[in-house]
Amino acid sequence: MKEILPNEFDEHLLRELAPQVLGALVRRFRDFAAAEDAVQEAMLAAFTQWPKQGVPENPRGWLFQVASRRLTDQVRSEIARRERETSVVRDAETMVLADEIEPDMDMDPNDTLILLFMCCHPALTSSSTIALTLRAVGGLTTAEIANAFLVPEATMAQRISRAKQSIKASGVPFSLLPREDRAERLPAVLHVLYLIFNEGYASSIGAHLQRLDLAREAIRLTRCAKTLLPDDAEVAGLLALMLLTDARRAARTGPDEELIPLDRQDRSLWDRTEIIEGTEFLTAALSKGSVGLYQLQAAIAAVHDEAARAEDTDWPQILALYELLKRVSPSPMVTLNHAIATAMVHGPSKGLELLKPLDSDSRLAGHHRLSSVRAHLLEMLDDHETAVTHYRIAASRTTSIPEQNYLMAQAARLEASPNCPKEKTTTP
Amino acid sequence: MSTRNLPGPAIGPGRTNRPLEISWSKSREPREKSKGTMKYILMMHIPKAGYAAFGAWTQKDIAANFAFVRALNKTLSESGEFVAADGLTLPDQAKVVTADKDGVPVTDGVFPESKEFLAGYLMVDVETTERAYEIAAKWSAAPGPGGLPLNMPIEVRQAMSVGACELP
Repeated sequence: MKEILPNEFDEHLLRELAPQVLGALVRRFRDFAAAEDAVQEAMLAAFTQWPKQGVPENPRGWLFQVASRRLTDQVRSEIARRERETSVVRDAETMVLADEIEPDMDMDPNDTLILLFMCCHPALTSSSTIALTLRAVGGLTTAEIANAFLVPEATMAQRISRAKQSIKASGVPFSLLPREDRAERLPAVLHVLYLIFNEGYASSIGAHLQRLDLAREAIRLTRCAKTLLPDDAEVAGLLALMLLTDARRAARTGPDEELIPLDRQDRSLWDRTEIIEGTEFLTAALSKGSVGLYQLQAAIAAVHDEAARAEDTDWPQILALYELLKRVSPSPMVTLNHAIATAMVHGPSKGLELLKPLDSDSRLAGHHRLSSVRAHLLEMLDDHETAVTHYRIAASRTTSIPEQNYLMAQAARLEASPNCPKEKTTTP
Repeated sequence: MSTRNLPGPAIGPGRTNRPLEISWSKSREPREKSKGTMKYILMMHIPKAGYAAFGAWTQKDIAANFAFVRALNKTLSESGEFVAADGLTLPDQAKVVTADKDGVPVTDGVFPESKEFLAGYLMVDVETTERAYEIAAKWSAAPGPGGLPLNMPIEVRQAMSVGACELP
């Protein structure tokens, strides 16, 4: 983004203002879909004008004026169209015109929250929820979102417009959900933020550096949610999880963009600031009492992050956390990670035993992650021949190129030195 | 990124329709927590003879086939699933290129008659594999002579991603 702007201006400020301006417009014009389009146009205008002409004194007011002018123009032409078509004279007096609006009259910090809950409507598919959230709440342009997901801009625009139609059809009023409804919807909101982070973190590898940093956007939005929902432990837990994971970003790829697993990462590259901040949020969240899925995952990430060396990792603690996670939020992926932790504490045979039932779980049977974990545990058991087989099976099943390269490299490494297991060379 | 129409040419009648191995029921179980979208490439392969048969189609049948493909394309664009699509030129213009020892391209244009050719592709970005199959089935049923569905075989392959989740 920065390269294409001649003068630097705070694009984060611009993005933070977007949902506030949108909220004010929706309250004024009562048309979420049209207001959202108008804000997008105002954002695009700001992106071209502010770097050249400087940031206006009241940037929020500026955005509001530009967006509401677009909306009133739209309203005017709509009236004109209806007059032409039906010859019915509309009462134009009732329409609010942009020039009469006090820029700051309708701003409410809760608007960002309202929009977040609105966008994460359960009726929407996750891809359209993500796209709409990034645009309406994140203040990103359609082009940026399309680029992040490697689809044409027109396709992304359609996704967003369909999402808005669904919201319109569902008749959601623009207001903060009652507390109990909010609690019910919150998991969906957090899941969307989690997906955005995951998408960004997963693709922060290699040749796609020019893509928008979705992991950072997810952190920004979650921070915002945490400010607006300061008492919710899971929001804080999710933010902690993101920070504690993002902290390892620089260490997870090598010079040739190859993946480096956790136990072989150069831990001096981990971002201390993010670790400290994440740990603080987590500690505060845990003290609130109700432990949820994100806090537990953050706690596991924190245990990894606090080990100076891989061999210092407190595996019994991680195992205990996975046991809790299995109870709070059971899933085959959790069982898989629980098996790894078991292997690290009680030995690979115990871990392999736990994998057996997963072979008949339709959600995981044939999944590359099951094969790669099995390969890893077999390698720990010094059964290199079978480990190679399972690394290869995993490599053939993954849909990720960096993971495939990593798994092929593991198979090749083991095959090159079948009688020279790495454990035995490092620990005499 | 091309937004041109999907390939129109398709083979004439006489091709054996392969039986469907799997059919997807319309009623879906409550969805697993979705992980976003996946890209799939849908490829239509046509034997060389099919191109000759296409020459015998009536103008009306050709127009109907093209219109169908255009409509499918438009639907996918409106549903926010379209990535790219192209129809390819006829196989008699195809060349196989290899590099010689100096890296100079060497072209070869001779193909055995029996070979199948890629006639066109469609790339979509969808939430589930089932959805990719559903789109492939729609394309497969594009109308041929007399407006009857061609039921062409469409090869469906998932595109690898450049991303990677944390390794265990």
